[in-house]
Amino acid sequence: MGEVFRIPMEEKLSRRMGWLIRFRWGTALSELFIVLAANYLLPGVLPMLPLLATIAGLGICNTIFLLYARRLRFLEASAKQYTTFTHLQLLLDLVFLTFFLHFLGGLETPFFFFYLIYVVIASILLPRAGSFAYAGLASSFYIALLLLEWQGIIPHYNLTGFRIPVRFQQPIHIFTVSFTLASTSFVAAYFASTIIAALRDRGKELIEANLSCEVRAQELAELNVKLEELDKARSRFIYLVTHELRAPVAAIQSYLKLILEGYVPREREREFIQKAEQRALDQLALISDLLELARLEEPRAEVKMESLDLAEVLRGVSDLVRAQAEEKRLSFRVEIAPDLPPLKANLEHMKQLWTNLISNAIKYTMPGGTVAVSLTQNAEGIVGTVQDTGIGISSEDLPRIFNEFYRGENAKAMERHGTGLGLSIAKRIVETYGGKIWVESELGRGSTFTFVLPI
Amino acid sequence: MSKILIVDDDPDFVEVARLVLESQGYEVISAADSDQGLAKVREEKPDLVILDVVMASVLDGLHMSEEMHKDPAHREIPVLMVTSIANIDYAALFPTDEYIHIDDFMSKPISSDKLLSTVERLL
Repeated sequence: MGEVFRIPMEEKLSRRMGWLIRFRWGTALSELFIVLAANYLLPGVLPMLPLLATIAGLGICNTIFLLYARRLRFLEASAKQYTTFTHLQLLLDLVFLTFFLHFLGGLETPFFFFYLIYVVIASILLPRAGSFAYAGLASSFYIALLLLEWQGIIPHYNLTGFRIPVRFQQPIHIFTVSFTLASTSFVAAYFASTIIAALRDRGKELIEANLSCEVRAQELAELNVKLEELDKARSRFIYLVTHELRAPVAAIQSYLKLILEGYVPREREREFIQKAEQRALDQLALISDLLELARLEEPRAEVKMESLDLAEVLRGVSDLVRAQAEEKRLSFRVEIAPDLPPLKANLEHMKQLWTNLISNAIKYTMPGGTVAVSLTQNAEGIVGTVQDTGIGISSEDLPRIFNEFYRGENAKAMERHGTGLGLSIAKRIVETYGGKIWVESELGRGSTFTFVLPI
Repeated sequence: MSKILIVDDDPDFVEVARLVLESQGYEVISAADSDQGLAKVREEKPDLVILDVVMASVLDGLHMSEEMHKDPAHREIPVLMVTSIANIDYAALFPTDEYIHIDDFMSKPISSDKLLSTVERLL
């Protein structure tokens, strides 16, 4: 944040110097005007030479300031150098003003309120403490002038025709003027610095708000891109689902219609009715799987989580599928490592995960083959593998094997019935728990599916 | 009698269409994917091809009809496209008509009457 503020700060400071110097030219001109006007109104009263000399002095100083300010800008001076320069200028301003007022009536001059101008300028250019300091300095300079003139240490230039001198020798006048100037200076300093402080805070808030808006805009742009991708993925998914859901129903309707219209010879009627029935079963399986997928989308909070012993779950699933495996004369092995830590998960999800992987292995392995399941752990979490000596997955199918509704050609050839959702569901489950799942396979030799679930 | 080639990965559709068409005396041959389909077109030189849009991958059928069109020997063979997608919204997923070389379009499930009349018209 500091970085952000530094550069505009220096630019601002440099501009402020320019403003102060231009203001001083204005001051010099106004003073000249006042002097000439006063001289016109009260000819011969004012000490013209000292007054003009003072104004000239101010002009010369300002020229030096202008050159110095250019130098600072060229050298890319620090904030500190600018602040010191500001103090120098303001101090000299007060000195010159004091001289000016001294020659313009001193303790009887009505122009002593000019000090307030510098108090306000100090509030704008300097932090709060600075404005009070200059309120004090201005008051001190004028009070010093008053005292010196009153005690006669320095000459008093009387404004004849404007004010009667005797009155002003009285201490009460000295005191009142001092008090008025001092109090007004401090009050002015207070108000001016408060307003400026508030303005500065708003300025800072604005810059911060702007910056955070930009960051936000960036984030939003990224989110938008993601949203578009999600939307596309969703449309594609709906399209696929529509296609997959229609197919079995269309087939059933076609078969039945055909029978009704008499295209099917009597002896083949039964065959067609069986086909229709099988398709109906396929449809039911598809719908179940789709529901499962939908359930997996539920936010985790609403799903019942328990501390599960994955080994127990695996054993349960194994017992159920063992019969299937044996019917196909497959060698079915389960190896579980001892002392596995429990996993916080939903029981149905874990059962589904094992079931999908193991039943796939059994389905796509020829009789006489092997299905080996193992459950262990490593540094990343609990590791499950399902290995088979089945038909394997071709290298073209491999990157898409986990896609919804995707079935490899060889899988379709071996087993007509399949939703293509088993692996998608398995993948969703694993990813819901922050895990990973992948497969190694060789066409015709077999596949090994591995998943890791972090604890 | 005319020879009709059906290219579709859905065996039920092939079965149903076969039954309907053979009952009218047409000779029916089939293929399960676009590669097989193209091979059969070259070998058997059918008089009409019935093609499913979505087979192994989306727009499979369209690619096959393009391939057929490229070969001057097969350019004249009429193509009937069938699809499960009936909803017009998903037509957005398909390219514009410019490059689709098909002669007619039907959506599944097909009605046997409509199939027969369309086939008759195209041949």
